[in-house]
Amino acid sequence: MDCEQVIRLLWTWLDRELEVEVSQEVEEHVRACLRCKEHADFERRLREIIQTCCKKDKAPAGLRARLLALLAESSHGGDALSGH
Amino acid sequence: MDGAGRSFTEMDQGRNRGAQERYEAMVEEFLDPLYRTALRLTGHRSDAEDLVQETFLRAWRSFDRFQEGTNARAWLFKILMNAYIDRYRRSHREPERVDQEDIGEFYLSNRVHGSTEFSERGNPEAFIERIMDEHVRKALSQLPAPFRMAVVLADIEGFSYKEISEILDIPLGTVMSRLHRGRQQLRQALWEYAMENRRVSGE
Repeated sequence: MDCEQVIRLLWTWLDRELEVEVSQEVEEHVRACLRCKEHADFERRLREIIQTCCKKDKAPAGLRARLLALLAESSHGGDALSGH
Repeated sequence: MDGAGRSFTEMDQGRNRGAQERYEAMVEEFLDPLYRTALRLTGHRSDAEDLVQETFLRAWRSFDRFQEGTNARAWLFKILMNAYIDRYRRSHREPERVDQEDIGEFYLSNRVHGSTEFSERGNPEAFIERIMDEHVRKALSQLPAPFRMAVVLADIEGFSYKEISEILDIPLGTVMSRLHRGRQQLRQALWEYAMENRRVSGE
């Protein structure tokens, strides 16, 4: 497998969505080819950065409390929040 | 607040305590992932809260039909995406920009490895470390919604192509092409912000 093929498949490979045999071919190439390895490492790091950034956003405590209150309300057969 | 403000009560007639406890555990487990995804979709905290509330309301409504042991996370994300499409995209349709130029998979990686600035330092990590949270958020927010949904599901939430295809109700090939275009545009934007930022900071 050459660089051009590997580059075309790299995202799908990083997504672990390639057939096992194809995935192994990409892996072997990336291990041996400095340029493709650089791209792969860069893409891995970029994805980590994007994930870390977006996972910092947590649901506000108020939303959690509101949802649980709505549920608790329904368990008691009450209807206090229906006009909310 | 259409829909989102109604209580759970009106649709849980005859539902038992066990179901309620299982559902409550589901809320706890998936609230953060659903909220951060809603935030990426809507771009506003209050809209995201409304959307998540609407999602859990819809999910509770159809909880009877939810099969125990099936993929709860994918099920909830599908409800979230449908609620988003119903609530927001109906009002302001965004163009899909399908005529976008193909800039290549490794636009950003090529730029970084090819720039004198980063290659002289011999370390593209220097670029990665300078990517700021606000740049990531802004770059994601500027993707057309169909691309943004695919990128968020794959790259942040880690869903498989098959799961994304089921969540968004689109063919596998469409998942791949949206991901591809979305990732390209995202990288292009990140490079542009990094360059703007460099000029401003006078480096």
